[in-house]
Amino acid sequence: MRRAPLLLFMLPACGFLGESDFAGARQAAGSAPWTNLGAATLCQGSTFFGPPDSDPVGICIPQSARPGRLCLSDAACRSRERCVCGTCTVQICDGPAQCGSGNGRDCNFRTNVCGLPCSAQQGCPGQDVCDRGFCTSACLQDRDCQTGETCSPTHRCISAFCHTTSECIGGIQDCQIQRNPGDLREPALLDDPLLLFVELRPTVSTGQIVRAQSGDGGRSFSIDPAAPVLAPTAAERRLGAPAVARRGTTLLLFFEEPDGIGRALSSDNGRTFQRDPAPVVRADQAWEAGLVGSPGAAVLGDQTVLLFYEGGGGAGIGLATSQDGASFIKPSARPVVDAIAISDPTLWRQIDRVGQPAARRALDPVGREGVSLWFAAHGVESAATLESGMLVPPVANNSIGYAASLDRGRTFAPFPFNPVFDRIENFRQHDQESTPTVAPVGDRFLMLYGGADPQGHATGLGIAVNPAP
Amino acid sequence: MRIPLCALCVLCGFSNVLADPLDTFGFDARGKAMGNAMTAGTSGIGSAFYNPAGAALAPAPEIGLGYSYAAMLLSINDRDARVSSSRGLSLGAALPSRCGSACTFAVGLAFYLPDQFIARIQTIPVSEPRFVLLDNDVDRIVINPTLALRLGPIAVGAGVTLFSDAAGNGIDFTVGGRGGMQVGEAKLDVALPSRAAPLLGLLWTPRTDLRVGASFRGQLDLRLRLDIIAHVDIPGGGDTVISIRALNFYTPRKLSLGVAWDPTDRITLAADASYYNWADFSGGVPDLRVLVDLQIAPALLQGTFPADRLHDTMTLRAGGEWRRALAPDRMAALRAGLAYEPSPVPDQVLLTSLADNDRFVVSLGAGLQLARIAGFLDKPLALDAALEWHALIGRTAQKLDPALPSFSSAGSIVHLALTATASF
Amino acid sequence: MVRPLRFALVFFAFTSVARASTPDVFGLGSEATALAGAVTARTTDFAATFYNPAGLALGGPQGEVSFGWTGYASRLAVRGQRVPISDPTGFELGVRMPVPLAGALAGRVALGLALHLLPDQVVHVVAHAPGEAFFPYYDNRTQRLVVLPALGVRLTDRLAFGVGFNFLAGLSGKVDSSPGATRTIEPRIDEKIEATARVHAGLRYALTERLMLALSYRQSFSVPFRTDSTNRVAGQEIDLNIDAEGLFTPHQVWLGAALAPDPRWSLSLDAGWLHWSGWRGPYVSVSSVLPLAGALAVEPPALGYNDIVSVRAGVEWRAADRAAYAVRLRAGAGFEPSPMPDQPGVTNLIDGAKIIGAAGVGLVLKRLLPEPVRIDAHLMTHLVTDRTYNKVVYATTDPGCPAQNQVCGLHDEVRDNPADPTTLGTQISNVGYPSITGGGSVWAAGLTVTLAL
Repeated sequence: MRRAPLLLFMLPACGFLGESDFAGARQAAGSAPWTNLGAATLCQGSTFFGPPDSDPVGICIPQSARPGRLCLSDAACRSRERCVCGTCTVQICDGPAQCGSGNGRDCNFRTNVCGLPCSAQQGCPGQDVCDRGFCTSACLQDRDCQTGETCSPTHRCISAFCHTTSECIGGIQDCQIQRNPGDLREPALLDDPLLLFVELRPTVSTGQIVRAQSGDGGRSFSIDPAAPVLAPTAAERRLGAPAVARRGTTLLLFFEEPDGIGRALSSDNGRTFQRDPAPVVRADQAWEAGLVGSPGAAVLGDQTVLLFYEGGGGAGIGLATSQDGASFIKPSARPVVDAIAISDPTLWRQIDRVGQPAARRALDPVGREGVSLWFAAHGVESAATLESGMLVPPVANNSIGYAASLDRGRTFAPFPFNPVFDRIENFRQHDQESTPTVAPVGDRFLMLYGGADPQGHATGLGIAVNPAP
Repeated sequence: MRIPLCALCVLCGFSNVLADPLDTFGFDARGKAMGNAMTAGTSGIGSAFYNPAGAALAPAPEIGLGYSYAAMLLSINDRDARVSSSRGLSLGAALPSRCGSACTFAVGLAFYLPDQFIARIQTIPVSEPRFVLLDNDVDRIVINPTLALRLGPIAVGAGVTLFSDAAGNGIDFTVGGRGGMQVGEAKLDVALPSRAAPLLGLLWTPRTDLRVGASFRGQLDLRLRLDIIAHVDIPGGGDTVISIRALNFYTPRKLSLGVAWDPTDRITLAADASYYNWADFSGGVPDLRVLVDLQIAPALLQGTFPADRLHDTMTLRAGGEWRRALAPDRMAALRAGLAYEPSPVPDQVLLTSLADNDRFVVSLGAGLQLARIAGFLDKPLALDAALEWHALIGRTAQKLDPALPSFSSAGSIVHLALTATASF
Repeated sequence: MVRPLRFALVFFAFTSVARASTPDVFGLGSEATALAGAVTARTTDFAATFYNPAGLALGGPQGEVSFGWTGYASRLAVRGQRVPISDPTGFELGVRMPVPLAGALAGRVALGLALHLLPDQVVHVVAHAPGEAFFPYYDNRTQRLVVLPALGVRLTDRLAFGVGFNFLAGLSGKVDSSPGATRTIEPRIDEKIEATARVHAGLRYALTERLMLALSYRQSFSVPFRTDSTNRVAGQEIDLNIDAEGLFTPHQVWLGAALAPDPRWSLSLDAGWLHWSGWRGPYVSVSSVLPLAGALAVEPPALGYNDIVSVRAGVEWRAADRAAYAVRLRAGAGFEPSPMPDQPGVTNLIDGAKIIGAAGVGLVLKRLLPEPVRIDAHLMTHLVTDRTYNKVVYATTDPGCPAQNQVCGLHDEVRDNPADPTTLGTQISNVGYPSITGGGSVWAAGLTVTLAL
């Protein structure tokens, strides 16, 4: 009894306890805003894919070097290493987006590897030291350095970027390739477990579909199995633009084939597929102008399959439905989303192409079933910039929009602030985004998209999340 | 040629709004256990919060120290909203001084200090669902100093509830070249200007077993005003201004009427009605402006989103206390209370996503009053405990535009409070 | 040769000083202030929360509450230009309450609380640009609410101990903004006003009935301000991280003695050591990422401040003691050297030695209310001796004072270009160049009324 008041004195923290910044949960809706996390890593063995027009690049490694330790994430690696395709090593780069987001790393353009920036005020972790703006460590020999580094004559761990072994120290080092060019198109995500199906184009006019899985929540994917899960027949040159949906225990894979949109079924989680002999959707409407492709699929609660597709080479997004997942009908002779429907006089205008849909079934808090639709469109989303007193008009580019339907995909309401994902650089340059695919991962939505620079040169797959980390 | 400040972006998130934490949970454990129906029933350490006039009715100087903890079991879309728990120290005082046979002058103080910080200024993007009344704002300091005067059956009280803004002349940062080197200099002028709202109270004791009370509190809020100006004084450079304006902790005007009746020596019954003037709340959408005056002025979107108008609410509270003497120098009390607190937040059918729910509050409590503790304390000591359960009535916000995400909110709050009150 | 500069990175700004008092600068309570603060061994009212919390336990069985008012005026000047006072008033509220314990603890424990309130603000943090000329002793240390809760315990009949806290708040947090769902810049702001507290502790020892000795320690105090602002505007990072610390008061150790040679006189003497060398200075650190400028971090000049010893003395005469009233007259004096070093470089922290004088009167009205009422008044002045800083100019490449060093001297700010005559010669924008002088006086007056509870 006597001690009760004393205990009361000991409980309170009197404002000193503190609390983390931005406590509280952010709600994910999958609509907007999307935060770009940079390039998606798709590994094939120990290398990952880079932009299609890039060269194979790697890092000079001493021939006596031990292989890097195996890893699932950067956290398992040392200070300057990243987890690259399951192995800890310093990572090559030629742009900051390739070094990930939110991990404090930036591309050191002097050495073309991802590093931790530092300054007199911003120190380095552990025993690392700051050398010309990036962290490194002192060394006496190569083994004092981290995987992918060598010890320089000035006793600093350095990395040497290379294309071939001839660029490394002859007889002592080899060029270990980290990144190969890869033309990856139209990714399709499937959740639970998180799988990626993507079109890989070995040559310009050929295409095949590969499957990849992720062990780190979608930051990186590894191709598994090694062989394509769907490849063109001898008479075909390309199968591509996959879309995937789960119907019961079966995976439905829709894809572009020469005569329309084909279908394949898998009962082993997408490792193998049984392809239908004929397309399930053909271009038979006037607005489609003989072209259908880039499918996006969703399965409703009653197992009805909604197959959205791009028609007429960007003329709009059409819908085909199927009760049994095999035979599809088109409920309307018009597209469900077209340029007029998504145009806004201020926010998104001069739209001349709409397509590449990705769809998901959605349930709102009162249990109403709806359909979320992400798509790419080509238009203008910003005003003119003022440069040295001169007005410079914006340039049309591909961006990603969002729309939702509460009537089983028959009609869509566009998001009022489209586009929902549009990257800008240096105040005025709009990079391009297309071929979105979206899946829930944990308490967030993950988007993979096909990226391109303002001039339209493909830069590979990118990742964005909603809400921001 | 120096281009004009031409690029402007406005917006935007939504500041949290709320009456102070004592409005949500009450002040001392006795008041909380009685459903906070204390406008007429207070006479001691809780007076500076419930009714400033009550301090003049304290029989002797009293100081009370309490601690409270609230588990915020709230969810949005059936997922934990991770609302931080509200917990902190409360200190109350009623210091009466006689000025005649029927005259008492008193000083009162109600003070609440959260464990984590004194206050937190937080804004959330306008479209993100968030418990606008229960997230964050139940965690702020409350300081209510009051004065009271009793003349016969009438007691009056007045005071202020104090808070502060976060403002100043801003932060000025200059980057330039000097002697061929890039150099920077900065200066800063930030203040917490004090804010105050009036507290008024009246207590009438027509009979020894009956008291009627009224109290009024003015409106109060915290305004954040922070300007960061960066001058880049190198060729091609210019100015960048980041200007933040936000409003937090809106505490509406409150008018309470109450009655307390002692039907027997052992029983006290009390009832309150409190009117909250939420409709006067404006400026809930803070803004952040970024002005870039460089060789390139980006085309930034500008928009303003009017906040949803909150509506006034009426909260009803009732409580009772049953006392029993355990021994000549100790007495026990059991207490219970009930309240209904409607939400001032309208249906969220447009862009804003303010989560808030009507609440039923059920409270229970017990107290032990000791005339003295032999060998330790020569004056009375009261120990009280209270448990409040806030049941949020589930609510769904269904947007008119299907492309805007709808959301649901629900949950409950469990609040535990302990108070020790010593007389001097 | 000094020429106007096209760019003025440093500008002349005489900031106003002493906007409101704090106990550190002028004192707490009229009685203590009238004795020039020489009360470490004699104060027993609410002022003990600041000077020596042990005194709370020696104030008798009756609780009391005090209300005070203080006002200030500045006659400080830099180069003859007057530096005014912006907020020349403050209020005090103090409580001393013996705890009614029984048994062995009876009459031994007392609580105290002192508040110094500013009329319009809780706290004001100012961090200056390095070249600004101002009086740091008065400018930045005085503009805050003071909250001093304390506890005093009488351990034996001769020895008492006390501990208290100097409590206030700092501001820190983050601002993240980027395009949101509406595509406008949507900020997420999380600024916290966090508690900060430092310890006051003291001992009192009655060597004889007439001589009291005391030791008091006050921990250094400052109010932090930190904000990290991370903004993404149209694909461009605009980040500013700010770190400042205002209202600095150094670690202090005070020794005091109070002597009552006869019942009508009491004398007191205090000496304190103030650890100013632990001050980081009144400047702000910034790291930034700005368009065009890129990443830049600014570290403020690091001056070597001097630890100092301050001396105070006071005398009280009980002039009258009647049945209805009593009158007491008080006077005090003190000397405190300046902790500021010579400043040949960019800084212009103006400060001289302080000669302190104080006087006051106390009136006790014994019959006005059922309990006695005490009214105390005081007048105090700080005479700040003139201080001159002569600037020294070095070549940019001088190894004895390189251009990066802002403290050792000044450097030509524009490279000479023979094609542009305006760049030739030494061009310095520092307001203190070639020399700067400041000094003057500060005056304070106040009143405290104390009621028994």
